[in-house]
Amino acid sequence: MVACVARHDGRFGTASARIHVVKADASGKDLPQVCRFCGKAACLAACPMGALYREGARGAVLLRPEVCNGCGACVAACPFGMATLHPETARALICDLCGGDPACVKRCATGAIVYAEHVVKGGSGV
Amino acid sequence: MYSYGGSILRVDLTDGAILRQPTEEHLARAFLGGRGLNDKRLWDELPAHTDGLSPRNILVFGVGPLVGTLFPGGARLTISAMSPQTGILGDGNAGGFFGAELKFTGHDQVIIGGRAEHPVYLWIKDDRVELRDARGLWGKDTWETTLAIQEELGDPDIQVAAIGPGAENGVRFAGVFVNLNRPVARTGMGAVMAAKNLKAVAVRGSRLIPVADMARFAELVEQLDERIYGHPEYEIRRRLGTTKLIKALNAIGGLPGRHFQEGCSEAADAVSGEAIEALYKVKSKACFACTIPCSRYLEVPDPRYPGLRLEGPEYEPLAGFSLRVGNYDLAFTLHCVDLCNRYGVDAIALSEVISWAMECYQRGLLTREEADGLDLSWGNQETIERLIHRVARREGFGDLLADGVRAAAEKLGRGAELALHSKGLELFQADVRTIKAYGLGNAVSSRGADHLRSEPWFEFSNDAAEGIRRYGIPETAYRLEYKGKGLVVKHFEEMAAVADATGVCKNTYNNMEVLDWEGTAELLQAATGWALTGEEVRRIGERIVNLERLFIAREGITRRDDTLPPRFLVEPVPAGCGESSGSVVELEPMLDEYYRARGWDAESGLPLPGKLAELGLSAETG
Repeated sequence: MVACVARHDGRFGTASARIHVVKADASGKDLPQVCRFCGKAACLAACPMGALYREGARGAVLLRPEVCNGCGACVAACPFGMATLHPETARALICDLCGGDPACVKRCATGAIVYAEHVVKGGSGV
Repeated sequence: MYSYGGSILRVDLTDGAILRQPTEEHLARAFLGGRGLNDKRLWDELPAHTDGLSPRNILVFGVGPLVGTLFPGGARLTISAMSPQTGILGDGNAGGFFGAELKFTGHDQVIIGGRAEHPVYLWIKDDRVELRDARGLWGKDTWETTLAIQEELGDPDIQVAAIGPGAENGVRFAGVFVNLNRPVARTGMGAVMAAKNLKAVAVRGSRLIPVADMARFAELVEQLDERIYGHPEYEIRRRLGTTKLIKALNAIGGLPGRHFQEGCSEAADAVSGEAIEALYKVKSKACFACTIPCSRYLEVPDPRYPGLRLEGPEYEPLAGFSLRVGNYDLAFTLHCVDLCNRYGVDAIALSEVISWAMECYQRGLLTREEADGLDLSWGNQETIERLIHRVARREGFGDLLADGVRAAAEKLGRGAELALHSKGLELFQADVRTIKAYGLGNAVSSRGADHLRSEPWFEFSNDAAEGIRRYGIPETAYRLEYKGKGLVVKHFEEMAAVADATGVCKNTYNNMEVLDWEGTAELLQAATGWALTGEEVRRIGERIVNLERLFIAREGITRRDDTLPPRFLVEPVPAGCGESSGSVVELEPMLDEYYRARGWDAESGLPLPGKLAELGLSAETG
């Protein structure tokens, strides 16, 4: 999470991370939650401002920050809880795959998250 | 200020006053944070001879400039106060996730004074700070408390530092626990919390912490990661963590078998890190942002202990509740560690008081009647388990043990020579007769017997050429030699102080030496923007060590107290332990060399004015 924030915000923290790890200390489980890069992206469909768009190459949903008004429709729409709002700017936070070189994957010591591109029906995806 | 939360929070539990002040940059530059800045608060704000359990004591939670960053293991929290166990400087340190979360609330330190009228817990959510009723939590164990607070506040990502019933019942070596199983164990910081009626501190932070030069910082961390992944110890540390030490110390006769009467044991393999890995390990666990997941989550499907699962343990509790007490049943050991965690007590101290009582019994210094009729034979599981409960509840014979081993021997009026402590703090689980720099480090440690004040691993290296390069003395590279160890301990004490003050892990920083002074300076410069040389960083470590010496000197500590129990000074390691057999700790020549290296008076063990002036500490004694 801190690698994600360092990459996107140039600072250290977790509140603006686009990946989340649910840690259940009692059961010992660490559950990484990542964007599912949905074919039919509910976040994109829900945005009333047209601030979200599909990136061609990798299929990530990207944000035009100047258009986003922080209404949170994408947050409410995402069935996986993976769209959030930035704690300072209130702009949408959705995984952008770091342009194809995800900081989280690079830092993960255990190989729990990997990055791979594969072709899906109707175009490329991840 | 780059790489700092920026604020210091002050909470007075007596009147409920909550104040916030900016983190003072000049103090941060002199002491960094964590243990260093905590020391400075204690020195400035505690009157001499403050009772550790009185409302006048202050409890300081501190994190350093590398906590919450990408630094692998930049996760450490230090809690400091006057120790109610030793009567001198108290502090403990834990990893996990609390430290980073505290930093993300924008606070570098939380200073807690006074005493609440009834049990409360402190809830810090960024700038919002609240004292909440904890009467319903009093009596709950560390697990129940943590989970109840997360549920009450409705957020499982809240980090909680909690005390358990041990602290509430007045066990003087009770700790503070984060992430359920990670103790700020030593010197009784949990007992201080309980005396303040403070059941827990809960934190959740959404701040983003700026650093001076992120590109440079990230580049340096990338190099650091490469050094870690390429380190010869990487694989075994990742698999076993510190539990690798059972086999390693067995090989040199350095185990604490039956209260340090047996340095090696054929039964050691049964309670080794390898055995845990093979039988019970479910997965690896890591602290915040760490690239060596050296902790382990265990499930123990033993019908005697239904539902037993825990994270860890480290080598210390593992060896404590196996070899030290003469038990070779691994599942029982893990059950004992789990009890310690839930009661919230220091497993080193508790394994010492139990094994001390067993040796007293063995030698006829303690009768069964004096010990509630318990059979104190080595490895008696029923006795060990009962004693854990009785100490934590301060019942019967457990009450005698609950103030630590020094106090127990005084109360019993016997067994003082067998009480394995220095300055009132119990010795860890390695025989210092077989590792002499560790012996010296334990003797001079500012919080009482402790390995984490120095971790002078270099004496395991057997690299004479490197010994000459570093210290000018080839013997420094060999564990059974004593020559030059004063220089080794001085060096590693300064590294340990910088690790604790920046908030990084000593597994990487001290034991794996992934950064030298210059490398540390580069990284701190990228983080804070301060122009720093390696020598200036080293000097911060030296300043911390000297300020701590001033603090304990104010409580009456002199060279006389920089010592070890007679077992290690005059009783040779028994036969059958290979090269280690026959060895004792040659403490006096090492002390002379250490004080000389430190610029301290060899007779009193106190810093000389010239040294204090050099470190900018003259005002501290003026």
